Amino acid sequence: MNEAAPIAPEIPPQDVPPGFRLIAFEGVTFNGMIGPIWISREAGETVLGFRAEQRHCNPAGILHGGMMMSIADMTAGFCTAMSAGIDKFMPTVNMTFDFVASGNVGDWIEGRSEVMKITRSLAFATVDLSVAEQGGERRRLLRASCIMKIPSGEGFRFDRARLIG
Amino acid sequence: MTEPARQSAAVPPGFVAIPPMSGFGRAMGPWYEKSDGDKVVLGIRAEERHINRLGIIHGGMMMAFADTLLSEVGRRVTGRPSVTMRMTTDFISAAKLGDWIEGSGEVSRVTRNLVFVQARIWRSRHILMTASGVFSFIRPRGADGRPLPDSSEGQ
Repeated sequence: MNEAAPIAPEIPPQDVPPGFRLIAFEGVTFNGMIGPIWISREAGETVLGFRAEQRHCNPAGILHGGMMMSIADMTAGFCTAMSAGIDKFMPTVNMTFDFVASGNVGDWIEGRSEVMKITRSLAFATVDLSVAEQGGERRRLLRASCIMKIPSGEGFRFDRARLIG
Repeated sequence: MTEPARQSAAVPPGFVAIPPMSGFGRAMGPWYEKSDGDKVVLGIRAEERHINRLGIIHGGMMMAFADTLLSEVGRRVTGRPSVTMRMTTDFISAAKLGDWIEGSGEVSRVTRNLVFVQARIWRSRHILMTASGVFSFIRPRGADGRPLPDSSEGQ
């Protein structure tokens, strides 16, 4: 059978900047399909990272907007929750994206979130995706503004994500 | 080439699979389309690979669907391909594994360089998402990868 999900290919560990650990998504889910995705939690900042591949690209051969938005959405959920000390899954209510520049195959792309405001039921954050350039500069690809719902009650708790490396 | 394994559940009458145009489109799709007069309706069946661990469609998947829908609506109306400059997505309710999801939209304005599009996405009678976007026209590229002359110039 021609199974649907392209499983994350083996990527040599030297392709990943220091400090990043692979997130082990279980089962056949969206995150597992678009991954591998790495996470770094250094100096109090949570950063998601992935290496752009051909399978993340659009017909023009540049990084697909859907892929950028998917990573931005994960960044909005994961990184915002970590910064705000929330251990519940936060569904996206609104997300607005500005596509500033295009990403290319081979780029190491990082997602960061800045918390703007946490209310009883909502989290407001700004997310950006960027590529680290030589000399410490960052090439910005995407800016997103998002509102996430903080579920009342227990909600769905993040399991301790299994990290590799 | 057809990929029968992906058609895991029935596709409603009138919808045909769109051949994937890129690696990411192949991973997400196939998307299905139905022409409804001069309007297009895109559809997709929510499979395991589209959901998150809560069993609902991943936000990123909905965004990718909305992006494809908005740009396809723009292409139908203007006849020109475009890339996303800005997009807004409002998540109104969630879709679950097995749901058939549809979306359609309309063009608000076309300028020399931009097309403004809005769309809604639903399952059955439930609205899942409203989305709008601003897209910038791109020039089609020839076999050598260089942009072809802009045939719409002066129209």
